[in-house]
Amino acid sequence: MLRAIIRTAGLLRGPAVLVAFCLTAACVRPSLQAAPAAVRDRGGIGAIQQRLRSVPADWQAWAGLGASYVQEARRTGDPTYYPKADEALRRSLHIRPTDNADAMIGLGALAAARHDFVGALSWGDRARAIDPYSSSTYGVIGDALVELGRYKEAFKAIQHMVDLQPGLASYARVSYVLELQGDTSGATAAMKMAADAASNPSDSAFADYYLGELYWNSGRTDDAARMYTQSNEHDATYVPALQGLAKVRAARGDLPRAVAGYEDVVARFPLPQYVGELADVATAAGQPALATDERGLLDIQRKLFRANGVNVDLDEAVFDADHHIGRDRGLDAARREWARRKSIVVADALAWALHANGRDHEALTYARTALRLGTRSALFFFHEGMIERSLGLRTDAHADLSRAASINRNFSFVWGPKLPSLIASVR
Amino acid sequence: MASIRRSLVALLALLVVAVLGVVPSYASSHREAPLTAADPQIDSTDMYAFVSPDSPDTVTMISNWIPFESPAGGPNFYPWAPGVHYDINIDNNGDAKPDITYRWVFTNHYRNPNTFLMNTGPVSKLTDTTLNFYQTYDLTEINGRTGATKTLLANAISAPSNVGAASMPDYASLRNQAIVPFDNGSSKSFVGQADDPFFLDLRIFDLLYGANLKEAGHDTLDGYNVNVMALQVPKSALASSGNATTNPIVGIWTTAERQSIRTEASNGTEHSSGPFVQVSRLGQPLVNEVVAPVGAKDLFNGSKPANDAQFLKAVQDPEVPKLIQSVYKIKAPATPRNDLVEVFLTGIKGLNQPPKVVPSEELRLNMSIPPTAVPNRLGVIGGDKAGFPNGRRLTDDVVDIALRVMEGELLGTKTGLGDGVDSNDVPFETTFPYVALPHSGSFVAAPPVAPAAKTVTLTKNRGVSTPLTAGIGAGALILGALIVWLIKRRPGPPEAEEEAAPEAEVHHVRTPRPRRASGE
Repeated sequence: MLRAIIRTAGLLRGPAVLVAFCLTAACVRPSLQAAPAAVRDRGGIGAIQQRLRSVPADWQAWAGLGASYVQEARRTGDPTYYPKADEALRRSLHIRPTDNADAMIGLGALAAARHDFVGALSWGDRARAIDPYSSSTYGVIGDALVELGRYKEAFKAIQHMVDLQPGLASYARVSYVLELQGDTSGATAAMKMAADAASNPSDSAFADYYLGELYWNSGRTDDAARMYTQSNEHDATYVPALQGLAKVRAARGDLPRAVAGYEDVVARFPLPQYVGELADVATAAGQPALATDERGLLDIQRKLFRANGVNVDLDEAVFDADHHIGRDRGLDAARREWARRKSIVVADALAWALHANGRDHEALTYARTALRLGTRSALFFFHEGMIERSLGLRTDAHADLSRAASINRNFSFVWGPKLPSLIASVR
Repeated sequence: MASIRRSLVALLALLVVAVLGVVPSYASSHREAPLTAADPQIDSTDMYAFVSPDSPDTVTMISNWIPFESPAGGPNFYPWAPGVHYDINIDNNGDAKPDITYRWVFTNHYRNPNTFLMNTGPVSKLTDTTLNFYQTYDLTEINGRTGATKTLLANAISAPSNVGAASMPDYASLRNQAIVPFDNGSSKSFVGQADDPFFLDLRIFDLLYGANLKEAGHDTLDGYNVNVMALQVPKSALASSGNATTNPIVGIWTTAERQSIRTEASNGTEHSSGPFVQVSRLGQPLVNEVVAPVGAKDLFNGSKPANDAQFLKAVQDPEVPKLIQSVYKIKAPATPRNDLVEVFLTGIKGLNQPPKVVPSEELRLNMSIPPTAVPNRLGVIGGDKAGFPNGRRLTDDVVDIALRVMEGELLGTKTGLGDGVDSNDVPFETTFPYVALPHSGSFVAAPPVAPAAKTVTLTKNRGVSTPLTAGIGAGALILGALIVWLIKRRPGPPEAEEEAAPEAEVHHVRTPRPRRASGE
């Protein structure tokens, strides 16, 4: 028998994966290795840092620390984690340059967080060559492909991810690709599986928030409110849940409290999306001074971001087109983004910017491109309907605007309230 | 306006970052999800299997999950993952395939659907309405050859996490309520939380990375809990043909499976679910540390014992002894290590190797070896054949055993290596389920600190850390640096009583086995 084993061994000498051994404490308990990627709090990061002070050569711990920082930035919206992530991940790669899939996966996630999707894809491919059994690798690759608009490959990568490692990270991605394909019930089922697989408050907050988003985007405001509340109970510091609760208030007509909620959100993270929404809610609430202030802030913000190489083209295109300001600028921004990546989200933004500039024939092509996956997006149908309305395609416009209203009449603080009269105008 | 000021302050922070070259991304268009969410619920920590000391006609199997449960783990604490297949697999004929699988599947229950809190008042019974969140399980036995299934328990209740004395004033009673007999009382099941019975100083492994550690001998898992599924069944239930006399050797390992899901949109109302996928595997302890190569962790967790020939090279030519040699100048035994093949893949001939064994990583137990009245923590290499690697008892010091075996104990090389932690932080119980009660959630432990008496100093010599043994207080356990040469280099025998046994008996244990030339 032994002879047979030894003969087999001779045949198996090849695989590179069998070369090195796992010796760190981080490997002794798998969770120590896994924990950094979903560390709940600074205490968790502190524990890895403490470990690295005693074992500075632990490249896996450095990679874990970097991944934790990326995750923390995602969870808290605090971008000061990004340079820390970069440093930790590159340090890991410096110590262990060749077969260090962990660091490459982390660098891929970091690149995606910075909207460098081509870079993210490249790191993912490098990691895959080293460890084809890691599901995270396919997460990096799938995410990048989705953002680049390469959906067929993206769905394949995410299918592979979930087949390797069903769990919160892969279920959440399956949910998103089902949502993109218009399968809301499938997306909801997948996100519920993610919620069931969540093992700490921040992951629970994440899954519950996105369940809320699925309900919100289907016009189920009460169900959405329930999930945003639950998300907030899991993790009071998770800002998306606060934004969810604020927009529920707006949808229910409680505009003063919606404004207060958004002010809290913006005070925590003055992100372009949130600032823009605050301006819109303030307008709806009859607080034009506040709205003007926030738009001013948004302008300053964009300049600051852009002056420092931050890509805010997409947000700018949609906001400007919505408000009929800086139309040329918005269109330029959308075209630049379309040149970089051909996702349905970018197609929609470009369609809307073209419409704002009166170029509706061209706009309609992009509006249809945006809907090519069958996504049930009130926003996309609204944009298409408005373009058709401008082109005099009243029947199509009526169908699409009605569809937007039936999917989620609260899709926009600016346009939602105007939807009934717009539909009536093309009857 | 106040909100503007607050926003600008926050913006300034962003600007500082941007100047450093960071590109924050908060476009609504970009979905970000966790990439590698920790999944401790399917993280199998340890597997134990032994002939029950108080019921020697039965075997107890204990499968532990969710490592590093801090007792103060609210508000969610530590539920099992619902819907997951938690399996203990039995290979009773040595062919590396499961002949019997015991499967636990959990369901969540909320008595008050408006809150996810564990309890809404003090809990004295598992059926109290104040126990708001609880989990039930179905225990199924699957015949690996025919695929036939048999429900052993339906809707049994798992003991909840111990959230604290105010909420659960008599936790021991809750545990007892979760011990459920089945098969006419011949078998028992317990599912719930317990003190993590594994004991070790994790940092021994860090030394090989050049860690500069000033203390050792601290049980890293002191004060942590773990989730436990324990099963006690008659030996005949496990043995091939139900005959534990003629077929006493069984191989045991745990797996967990999560369900996959399809990315294609379904046109119907039902979403398309995928197959169950194995996401965790564990048989013997420390296999991922001393055997499975880095980068192959996911490969191992998804692999089947029948394909373990792929790990043979890693077993025969292990890295640990080489690292120990490079750092501590202890000569690594010659390769290929066929002694390790017996320990990790085939079972030891004459002890727990099945007659026609297909090499595979399983925790192999010869059920015919009676339990030892006073177990030796070193198990087989301590002359106690009822312990690891013949099955594994809660008291077996697997880190010391594994280190010594890696360094050639079965080849006659005595190193006396160890991590300085010889026993668990709390005593085990004498009856099923044997594990100690979980640490209470109302007790928040201080961060672990090694006692001063155990402190040792490491010295550097030509850039190489050289561990020195420490002066030890009377009655204290032997501790050194992380790896010490107790037997060879220490005069004075604080551990002599225990260590004498392996010296005397190890040759008895080292049954003859084929030796191969290293070129083969």
